[in-house]
Amino acid sequence: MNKTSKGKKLIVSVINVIGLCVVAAVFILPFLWMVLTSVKTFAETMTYPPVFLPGKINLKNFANAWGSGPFLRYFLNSCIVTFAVIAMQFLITIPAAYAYARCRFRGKNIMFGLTLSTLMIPTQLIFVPMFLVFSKMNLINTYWSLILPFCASAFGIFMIRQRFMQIPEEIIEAARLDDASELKILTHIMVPMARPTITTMLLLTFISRWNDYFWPMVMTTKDNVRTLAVGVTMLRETEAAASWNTLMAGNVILVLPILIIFIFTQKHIIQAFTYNGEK
Amino acid sequence: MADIKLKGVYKRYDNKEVVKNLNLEISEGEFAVLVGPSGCGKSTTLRMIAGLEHPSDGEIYIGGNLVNDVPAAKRDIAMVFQNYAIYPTMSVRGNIEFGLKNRKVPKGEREELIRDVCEIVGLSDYLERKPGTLSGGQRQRVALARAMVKKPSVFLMDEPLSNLDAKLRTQMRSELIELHKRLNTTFIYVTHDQVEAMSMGSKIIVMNQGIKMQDAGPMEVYDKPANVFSAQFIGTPPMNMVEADVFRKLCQDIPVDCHKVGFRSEKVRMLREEEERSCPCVDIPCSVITRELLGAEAIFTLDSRLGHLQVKSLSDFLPEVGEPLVIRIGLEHLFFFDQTGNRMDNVLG
Repeated sequence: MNKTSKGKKLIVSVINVIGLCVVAAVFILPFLWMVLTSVKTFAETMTYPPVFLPGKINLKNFANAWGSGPFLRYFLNSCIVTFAVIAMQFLITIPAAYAYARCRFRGKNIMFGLTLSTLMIPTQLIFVPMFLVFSKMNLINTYWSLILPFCASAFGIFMIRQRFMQIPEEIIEAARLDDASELKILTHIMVPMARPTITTMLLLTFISRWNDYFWPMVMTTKDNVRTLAVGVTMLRETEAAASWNTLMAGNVILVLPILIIFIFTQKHIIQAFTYNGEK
Repeated sequence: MADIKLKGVYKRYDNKEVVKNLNLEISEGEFAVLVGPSGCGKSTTLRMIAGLEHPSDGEIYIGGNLVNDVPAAKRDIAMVFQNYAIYPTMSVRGNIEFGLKNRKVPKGEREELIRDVCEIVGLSDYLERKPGTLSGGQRQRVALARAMVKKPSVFLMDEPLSNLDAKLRTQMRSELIELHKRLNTTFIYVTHDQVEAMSMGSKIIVMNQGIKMQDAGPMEVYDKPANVFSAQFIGTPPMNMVEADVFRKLCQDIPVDCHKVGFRSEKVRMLREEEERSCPCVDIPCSVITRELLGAEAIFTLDSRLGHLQVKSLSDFLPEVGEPLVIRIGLEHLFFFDQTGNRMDNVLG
């Protein structure tokens, strides 16, 4: 390799790194700003020009945020709703994906098309009829109104179906020859093989349910069923002069579980989105 | 151990017949090899025996029992797939144990069976490893062990060696022959490689376009090919085939109703120049087009009045490209085929 092409390569990689740094900064800075603000004093959040680093770490904001409402209740509600949705999705989405990937039945393609078409309908379009249905069923202000609409995920069905379809037919035939029932093939062969995809799907569900603000706002009016996301935004309403440090502390409490789960499942998520060749 | 019988078996996909009127008998303990080019219906036949495909017509018997409607798992067979089809998320032990667990074999017995089988195939040190960490040959052994542990009455193998490199393939070939002797079970083996078929099978079933072309012992298929297809499919290089009318210009004695004349490349003697004949034979003057020196033997492509011919030579006489020579074929080594492609008796030899 000659000197000029080596130099060119170096320039390209420097540009690449700079580009990546800029993109990373765009994503990381707001997050970092939130974390830093959550440990600043009220005065520090109000100074102009703004200070980037707090003078000293002020953890009182977290206690203030937590104490400004029934936050334990909100937290438990978020946990109940999110984990119930995840459990229901696990039970509904995986068998549905298996059926679409491996079974032959009349109307399969039409049903799959219908399932996918639900992805194109925005929530804002269906929340009024949904609200009316739940209100008729007396389910407003109950966990059910937050759980039932999200029990099946078209996106999850699609994602897991695609993964199931990549599993070589011979592996399933070998399992059949090994006297395995359909359920056993699903639970012992296909689900373990699709684990990264399923983990990712469930994590995305976790994030969307945990952070969801719109649906709980529509379906609940009482604190006993409201979730953390709604609770955190109410911090803004209660403190008249926007106490950004308390609000950001509330936000940190909100995103912390997501961050912890992401750290533990990161490997699976990367695997799910990388090409996975099987021999 | 069980015998297998196929009676008038057909397989159609969307009106396309991939197996046509297949009648077959495989005795107990036989090593039967289904051989033919890609798409000849050999794998479909195996899958029908396994119960992974349902025949469109005809009957399949295993051990004297009609199994058309018996599910694959209840046929007392085991199958080894071309791409091994081992479960990637399970350890070697998990793979071998899976079928036993499904059959509710008690734990102690399972352990014993796994230990025995792994000793035979040499996997004892790898029991806790995941398939992803094993080499191609080791994965193949896992697939074999998984099949063996079931102690089936019939072993079905669908091109199990084609994903291995040449050296390992030869080694596994002899291991499979040994395994067959040891287990004394009926083996049905599918391959497109005629060398595998010849070297392993005690019975060879040659197939082409869904039709059984011949069904005999390996030497019989070699010495007495039933038709032009069998003659040319078995043997490397393939048998030289010449139109009878062209061949008559050199030898008037060939039968009147003969349509094609064939002779094997290894039954030909190469001479520097015409010599006195000591036996009834045909001499053909040729010149060398290409030569492939393989060490112990050499393969020549020659140009002659009969067209291009291939000759395998084991002698020290290795003519150069372009060099003229004479090839001599004993009349007893000629094969005659009629209009329909079937072999006729050689009345000259």
